[in-house]
Amino acid sequence: MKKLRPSSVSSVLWPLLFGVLLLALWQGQVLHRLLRTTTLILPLPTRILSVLADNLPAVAADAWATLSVILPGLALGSAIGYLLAVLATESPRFGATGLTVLAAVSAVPTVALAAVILQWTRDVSTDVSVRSYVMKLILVTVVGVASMTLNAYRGLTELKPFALDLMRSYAADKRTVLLRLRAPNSLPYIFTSLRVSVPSCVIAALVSEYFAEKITGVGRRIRECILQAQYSTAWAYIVVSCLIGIVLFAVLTASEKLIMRKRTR
Amino acid sequence: MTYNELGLVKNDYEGAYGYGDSIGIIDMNDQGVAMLEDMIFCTREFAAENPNTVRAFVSASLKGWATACANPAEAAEIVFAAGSSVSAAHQAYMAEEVKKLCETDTKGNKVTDYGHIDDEAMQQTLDLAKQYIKLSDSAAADRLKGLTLDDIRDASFLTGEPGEPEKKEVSIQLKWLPQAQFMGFYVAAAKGYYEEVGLTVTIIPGGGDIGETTAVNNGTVDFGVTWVANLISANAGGMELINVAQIYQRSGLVLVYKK
Repeated sequence: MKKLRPSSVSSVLWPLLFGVLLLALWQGQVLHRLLRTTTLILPLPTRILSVLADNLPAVAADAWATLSVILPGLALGSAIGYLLAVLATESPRFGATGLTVLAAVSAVPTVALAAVILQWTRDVSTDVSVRSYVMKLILVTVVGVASMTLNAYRGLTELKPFALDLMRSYAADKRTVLLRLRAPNSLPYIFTSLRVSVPSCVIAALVSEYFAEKITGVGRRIRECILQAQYSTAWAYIVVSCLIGIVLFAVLTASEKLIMRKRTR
Repeated sequence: MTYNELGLVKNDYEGAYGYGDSIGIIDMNDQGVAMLEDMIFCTREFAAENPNTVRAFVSASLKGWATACANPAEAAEIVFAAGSSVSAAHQAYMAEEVKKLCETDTKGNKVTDYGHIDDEAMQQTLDLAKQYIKLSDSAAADRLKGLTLDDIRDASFLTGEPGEPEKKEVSIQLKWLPQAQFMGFYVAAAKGYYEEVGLTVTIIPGGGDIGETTAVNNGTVDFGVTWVANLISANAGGMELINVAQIYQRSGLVLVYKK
């Protein structure tokens, strides 16, 4: 048997135990007394799980509707964001201004953006599904861009002391500096950015569903169920949205470990 | 709705599209699929503990509705002054249409007693709800199947003399932003009908994602305005809410098409 390292005890076992304790308090309705709420508004875990089990195909379809917005949106946003960071690095004069503007734009609440994007996408298609999808995708992409640009820019410009001078002494051209020095240097910053943008893209996707014409996706179901006072069903969708966030974050952390370990010589 | 969207499609005032008579409508009442809408509700527990308050609130509100329907133009002005979300012209149109919903039943007959709970129309609403409301929660779906009229309405507060109210400061959560859809409550407040029965009433506008059934169930507010179908699904979900006065006697829902 593999020996359990102390770090895995503190990072896995304790949170797990805490989770189990929380679930026990929840199921035992101690949590309800602490939060002064009822099992109607905060249904028991067993009830939530049974609703989830009864409606697995429908819930899975909604989860997929949400994921199919998050993943391409995140990828597209990050790619555009990285490109913008490269452009800013290559032309520092516009770069600094551009980044300040971008930081300001990224402070605009998703809710406000969603309404504006809904206006743009009105004439995209006569098909409601397509229209709604494009609107959601744009919103998630926009959210993904800002965090990547700001972080990647730091990664591309905050180099090790004298690294740039060394490259110049080799008579390296701009392209070589970018590919051999700046890009590798930005790798950890990309992960820093993703650690912010993965959760914020998940939230953006859930919020965008509120505004979309087509009623689909985990976020939208939560809202519709709460409006209909169907709290058990709403919580089933809340559990799924948490799972989406946790799984994506776990995948990110794992790939970061893998890639960064390969990189350290 | 006849009183809101239909007006915006048909009329030619500011903010409306002016289609006039070039559109046709399909009326849910004529099709025999009317589901009752705006009514006053509270929790069963609140009604049991504060019967005089409920009776006083219902009677003063209905007096407000009677006054509003007798003079919709004035009611529209009162609502507009109270912080309307739409134009004065649209508010006036809305008041006229809402009056029709309060004074005509699903079959087109005249109704004179405001707030009357018509069991036949209520049963039709419940039957349609059982047929068409699909709930993913099996426990809620089972409860929906078992609901009877007695689980969703209590007409006893429409009659009888209210005694001293048990709770004197009460609030009502509207289903939407301030507009003539709720004119009776604004008129009752403006004319002092609530003070006459010994109540201080706060009207809380809704809008967006306000869940009026949850607000009333939690005790955040004492009364609420919602549609019967919303109350039915809330009770299926485990709440115990009761309709104490049916404001709209027929459905305001219509489908609109270009001729």
